Amino acid sequence: MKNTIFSFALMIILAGKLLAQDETIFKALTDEMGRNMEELSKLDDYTAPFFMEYGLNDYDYDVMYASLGSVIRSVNSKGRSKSLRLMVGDYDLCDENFKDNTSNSNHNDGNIALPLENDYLAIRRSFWITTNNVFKSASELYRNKLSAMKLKGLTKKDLPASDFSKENPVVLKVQSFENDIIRDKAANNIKEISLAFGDYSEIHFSQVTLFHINALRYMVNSEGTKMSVPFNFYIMHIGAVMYDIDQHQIWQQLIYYANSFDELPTVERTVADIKLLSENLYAEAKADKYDEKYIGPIMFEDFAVIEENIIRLFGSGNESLIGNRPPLVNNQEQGLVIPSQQTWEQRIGKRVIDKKLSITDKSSLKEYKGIHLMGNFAIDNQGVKPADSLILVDEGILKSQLVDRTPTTAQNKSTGHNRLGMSDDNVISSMSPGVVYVKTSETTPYEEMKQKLIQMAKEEGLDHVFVIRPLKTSANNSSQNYYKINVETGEESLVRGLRINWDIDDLRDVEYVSDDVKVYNTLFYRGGLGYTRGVPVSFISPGSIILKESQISGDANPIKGELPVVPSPLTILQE
Amino acid sequence: MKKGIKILIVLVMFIPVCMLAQDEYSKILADELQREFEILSKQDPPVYHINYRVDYVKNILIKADFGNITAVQSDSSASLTADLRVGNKTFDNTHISKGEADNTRRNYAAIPYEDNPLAVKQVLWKTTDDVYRKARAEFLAKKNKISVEDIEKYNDFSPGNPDKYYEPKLDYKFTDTEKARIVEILKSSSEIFPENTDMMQGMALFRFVVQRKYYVSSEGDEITQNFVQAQIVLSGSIRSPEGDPINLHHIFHARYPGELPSGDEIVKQAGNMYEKLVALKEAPIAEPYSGPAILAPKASGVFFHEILGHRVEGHRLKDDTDAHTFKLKLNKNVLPKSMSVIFDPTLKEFNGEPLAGHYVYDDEGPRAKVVKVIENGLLKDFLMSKTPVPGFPESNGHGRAQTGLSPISRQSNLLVETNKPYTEDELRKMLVKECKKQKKEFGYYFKDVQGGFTTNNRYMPNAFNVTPTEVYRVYVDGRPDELVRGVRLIGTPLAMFSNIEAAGEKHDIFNGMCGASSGSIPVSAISPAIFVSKIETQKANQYFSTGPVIDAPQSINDK
Repeated sequence: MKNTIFSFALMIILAGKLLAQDETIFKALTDEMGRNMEELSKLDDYTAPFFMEYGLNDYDYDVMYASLGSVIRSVNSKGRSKSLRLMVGDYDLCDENFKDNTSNSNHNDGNIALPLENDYLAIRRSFWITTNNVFKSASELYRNKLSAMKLKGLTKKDLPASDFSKENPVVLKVQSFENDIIRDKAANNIKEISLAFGDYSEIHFSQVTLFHINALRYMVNSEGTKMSVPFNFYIMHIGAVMYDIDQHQIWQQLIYYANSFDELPTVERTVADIKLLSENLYAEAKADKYDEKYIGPIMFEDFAVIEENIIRLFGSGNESLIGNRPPLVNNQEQGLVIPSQQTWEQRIGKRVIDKKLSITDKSSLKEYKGIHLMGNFAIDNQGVKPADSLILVDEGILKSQLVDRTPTTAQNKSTGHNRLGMSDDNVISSMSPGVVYVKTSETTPYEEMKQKLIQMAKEEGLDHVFVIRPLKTSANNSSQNYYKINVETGEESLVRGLRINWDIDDLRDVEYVSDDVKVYNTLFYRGGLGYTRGVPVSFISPGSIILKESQISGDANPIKGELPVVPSPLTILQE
Repeated sequence: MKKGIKILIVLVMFIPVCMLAQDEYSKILADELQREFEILSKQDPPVYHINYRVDYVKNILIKADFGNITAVQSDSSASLTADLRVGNKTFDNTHISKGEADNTRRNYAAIPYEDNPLAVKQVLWKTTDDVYRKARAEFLAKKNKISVEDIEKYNDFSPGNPDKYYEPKLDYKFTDTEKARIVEILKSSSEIFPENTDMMQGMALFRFVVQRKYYVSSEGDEITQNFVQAQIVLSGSIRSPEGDPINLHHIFHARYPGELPSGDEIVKQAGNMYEKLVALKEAPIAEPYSGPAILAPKASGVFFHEILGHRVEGHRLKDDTDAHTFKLKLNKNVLPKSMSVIFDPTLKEFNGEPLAGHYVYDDEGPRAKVVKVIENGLLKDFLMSKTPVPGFPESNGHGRAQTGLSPISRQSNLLVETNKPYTEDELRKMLVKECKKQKKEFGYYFKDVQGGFTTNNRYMPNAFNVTPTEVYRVYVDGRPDELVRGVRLIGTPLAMFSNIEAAGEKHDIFNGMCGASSGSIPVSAISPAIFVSKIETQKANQYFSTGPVIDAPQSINDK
């Protein structure tokens, strides 16, 4: 009982200390932002800022590399970074959404690093000089934007949408995580895991890498938003390379994600996965090379459904479920133009994918059938709470896009998807879905999917057809295999040297969707899979789909590669 | 019996360091190298030389800005640089055809730093194979090249005499107590720079590098040496009236953190730097000038490093894109008869201060040697790596490179000596006299420099540019010296050397990093002041800004 009381008392003290630290940071950010809003508004020659946002990211980062039982590199870095957004003008017309090719408006009067300690005045000084730089750049850009618009006789009303959305302020403090990495244990684990490749002498390069970031992001804005959001994330990447029978290098990988040290896979489990990976790599090395061009139905299984199809719907191009508003562009010869970009915001209400599929973002969903959803989040980096359920595509019809506080012609409010992720030793902000729920109105029993695929091939007069399926391991992301199916016998054979030529319109004809549902956690980065960087995202999706028509290119290079002249030390050892 | 023991003890005491056993890691490298060489030397075209360099580095970095710690980093890693030669020593893959420039060769791989034969050998094996393929392609292309025959005959490689040398592992721990002391020094010295609107930077940075360097070669070299360096770098920057930053730096060098100067001394230096920054802010911008000048010892050291040092790097003599400033000047006067220039990498310290350009063995295996490049004004020698040039067939221990790159001849500790030293007062009198002769109102005194660069190819003017940080006008009419800013010391080498008239009696050291095609390496320059009858200056480039639009927050009540 005494112990319990003591622990409780300690917790209160710790919480109190954390709170005091938080308050110093919040006070420094709020006071300096307030002072700048007020003082910058008084300047005669400048347009007043109407919005400011200060972000402070406090991080502790580790990365360790190991190969064949030895650590190769180990890095620890503690630091703080800042983000700052300042806009002049007003919500309808400001300095943003404007690319000025006539002048370089970057100003730099210095940079002061943020202190690692919570020194109130030092934090303010750091934000003061950065605010100055951003303000001068924004002011110049705004002047240029107004001049360019005036030359073309344009006013606010002629703009495709307002420049910035109004959102309600929020106050939210999420408890930070203690840095839970146990460095010695982590190093020993990756050493032990990496040693598993010692049994595979033909794998000439293998590496196990553990990345970890423990971060806390503080953010305040001039609308009254005040929030702190923690980010604790582990990535373990395992890669292996060997030569195939044509003496070209092939590689495969496994990636694991975890929100805590304890959630990382055990050594035993990972070693078992490495065994699967290595045997699969050996099999691929000896597999037949495919050197044709294939056009026809393809079946995607498990994570290949996401990696090759669904995640690409959130790409960084114009045709995307993430809104991409083209900026006004000011050129010396043409003056102001709006580049003619056909983005999906013009397709809202129209069919963009097969009517069997519906896609909803359910970012508030924490788990699905007992599986933790890493893509879950409460609030985005701009202080906007995402809707519990946001329909993006309903039976093939585009209903909405993910947009942040930069409105599009179709959506003038943020959906709250500007999110926190990691890239190397820092946290990043990026537009990203949270929990993506892919539903279908028409299912086929999984057991019948392969037969359906063969039937489609026969109708097309094809003698073979493809299944793309990742290696089955406990990893969140395992390399994919391409299987060639003999239409006559139904026999599956692993093939190598293939590349899928995916087009977004391939998803307009999804012939079959399986009745099983799978859950995946992964990283999203710049419109695709992030592998070892990006924002955590979850997908709840049918386990397999068959596209009516897609393309695969084989490797047409008939010239063999070259094996190393000297045999590998691993081979010698095994002999 | 007792006598026998005594003899044994005496013998043990006199066993040189080089006879001690290598450690396990070096043995792993040598074993794999031998296995690779046995097979690769029988290929067509054959490999005739292989060497492995492994640099195991532990880095600690702590940074403070304006009194606050802003970054803490630690990094442990080992890097392999594998180098091999295909062909034979008379013509190999590094051969330079007439009129062509040499290539930079990058042969880097991360490698485990534990004594794990399997893991280490696997990296050695794969990297050697990658390097072999590149070298073979390079060799075949050079063999097939249609080019002008070079009348100068020289080999592409001088194997030298293999050596074995071993330094025991350093058992050094950067303790929490030591870290706390360093943190306190960084905070208190960076705090000296006031947090006002004009100060753009007020930084103190601690860097501690513990490096264990392994070198093994197919000739039989097995060399293991340590490199330790602790530094505190002070950097201050103040905004000029035009808005651009005026920067000053000061570096304290030591081998170990405990050998760095006391906190009081470092804080005092930060104070001096701040005062100098304020004075520089008020100082006038110097106009372009031609006339007499004195280069204080540090400025003179950098001047010799840039203008002379890079032009006596031997490998340049076989590269016909190089200007060959000194190629045909052997045994001819290039400096006043009173002056000599020596490169001495064996020198660990000078006047108690450690020298960055010290090493025992270079990065190609040869032991470091003292090279008297200029004796009494006459050019006598060049800095040599294992790449021979006509008349200089062997290395003199100056083949150097940063991790990942192939070595070329580079500088070490440069020493400028004079047998006719003058006091500072005498040099100033010479300056004034020469100014009067040239009808100049003032001459220049270059007290400190930050660094510089030189171009030595044939496409660009063969010139140098030294970046002074503290420059004074010395008036002939006896007015006090006047601090100026925005000056760059420029010129061309031969004209400049012909104008060196005298040297001072006191030496000072410039420790720094030198960059060239084999990467960044630590070097030192030790020189007395020199008096030059004619130098030229140009304006430094400037960045113009209106400065911050509102003042920095000054206190907790500043809302």
